[in-house]
Amino acid sequence: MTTPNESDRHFHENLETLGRSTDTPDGVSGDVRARCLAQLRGEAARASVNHRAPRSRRLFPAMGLAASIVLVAGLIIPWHSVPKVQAAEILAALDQQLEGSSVIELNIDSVVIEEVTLSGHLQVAEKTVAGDVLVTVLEDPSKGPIRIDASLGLSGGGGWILVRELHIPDAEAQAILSFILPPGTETLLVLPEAVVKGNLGHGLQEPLEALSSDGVKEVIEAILDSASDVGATVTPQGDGTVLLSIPLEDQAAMAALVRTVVESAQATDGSVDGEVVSEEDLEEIEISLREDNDLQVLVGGTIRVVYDPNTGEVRSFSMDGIGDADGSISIAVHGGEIDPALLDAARVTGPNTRTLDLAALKGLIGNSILTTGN
Amino acid sequence: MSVAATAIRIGPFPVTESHEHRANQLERVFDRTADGLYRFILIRVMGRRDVADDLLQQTCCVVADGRKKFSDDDACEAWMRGVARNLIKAHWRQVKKTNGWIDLDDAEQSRRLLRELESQVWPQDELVREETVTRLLHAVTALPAAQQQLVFDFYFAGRSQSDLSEELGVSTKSVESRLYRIRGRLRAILDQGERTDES
Repeated sequence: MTTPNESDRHFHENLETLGRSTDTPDGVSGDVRARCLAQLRGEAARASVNHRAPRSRRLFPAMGLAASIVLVAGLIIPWHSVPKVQAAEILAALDQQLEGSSVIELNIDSVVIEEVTLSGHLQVAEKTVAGDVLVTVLEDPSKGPIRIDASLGLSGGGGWILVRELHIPDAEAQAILSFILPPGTETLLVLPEAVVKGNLGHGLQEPLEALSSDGVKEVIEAILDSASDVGATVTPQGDGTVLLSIPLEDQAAMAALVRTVVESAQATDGSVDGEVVSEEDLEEIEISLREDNDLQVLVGGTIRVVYDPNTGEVRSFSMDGIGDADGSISIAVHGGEIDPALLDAARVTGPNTRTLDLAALKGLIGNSILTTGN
Repeated sequence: MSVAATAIRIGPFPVTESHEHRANQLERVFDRTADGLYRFILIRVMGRRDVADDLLQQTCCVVADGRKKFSDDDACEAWMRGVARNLIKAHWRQVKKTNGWIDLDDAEQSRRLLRELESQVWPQDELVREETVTRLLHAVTALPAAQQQLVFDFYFAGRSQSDLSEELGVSTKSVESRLYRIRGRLRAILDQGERTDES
């Protein structure tokens, strides 16, 4: 029997023999290393570093449906990948595809996604967003959260944020901040036109591509047709609309739901929006949905959609149980217009204005769709 | 940039400091361990460089998008390797083409190899077989990058301990004891599976 020392010596000598008979595997090439470092620095957009996203991610936008709204994708995946208030931009895209209605109302109640908690009320019209948001970001529990309580208004031509509270746990930073935003006062920050234009333009481009009106209609109708297969229920409402409830018991259920939708949307040649979707593609999508940790936040939630089958319009969308049992998002579509005077009041102050006599603005707020608090 | 982020950036306060710290740590760890991480992937995708290139970049995408924080660089490296491992598994599930490939998850085969390597010194023609080399590379690339590099330099490239001691700025005795510890770790990986490298 060999002793421990003998075992190690044998192992060592056999390693030498094996090693010297074998080439050292190649290391990473310089250009791949550079691309990876750019990714880690956040310098490079995915496309510009020649990174091929998994086929499932490339496929979703092409399908014009699953990257979409009502299911996991349109609202939730973009929501998650462009977090916090940028959801407004996605909803602006939603507005585009629901052209028959003029304002979409979004209520967000205690949605917790990792360290971010979001509550708010946003109203979205074509190229215009206004509302209240309360965002807390708890990055370091020992220091307390960053807290932002604000109203905002954005349009393609400009925008502003009325900050009621911006609290930062770092005492030194908070002291610096108090010069700009005196504690206990409301401060109007006017956003440079270029910033707003750039954000809206960039933010709307992708959702607009994904959220075609036909795509949404296809998604909803596919789910309606396969409701029992995916555990959904359909309840006719008195006004001719239907209430579609889709519980997301686990990620496998989400994957099954998306598969059903994609299969329903496939043309006879197996394509969706001109792109052929193979069985392998479908399996890959299912795997991605089952295993994407980010989507865990949706498990246990229920999606509810009020849909008008006659016009193909989504009247309202809601999802509860996001992040935790209390989290919810709801969207309703109303008639009416956002008061343009509200945005004008901010714009006339000029791009360098930091504060404003708030009396006039408050008067406008009192008469407008923009409400403070809950 | 979101509206909230725009609002935050109006003020000159360091609210993104922890993000920057994390990004700096990721960049530093990746720069130091990139070759080891790449070989870890390469060996597990049958030497397909195009696949390894893609999976390494996907690993960086996942790592950059995450929010996990690390107590030290070693924990960060182990996490990156864990992300890469999951992507490799997803790759194989996707292609479902494992015919002709050696089942590297077969723990009993790895233990059998370990017993062979410990039992006696084998002549080259009996030792050097494709499966043996592949299993060995699988175990070596599961080591942290610095240990992996030492194995490749000493056992594969045939560099001397004195040469390595000069490069690393340590004594030859220290190189010898490092190699001893690495052999112990390699044996543990072959005996118990590669996740022991992260314990």
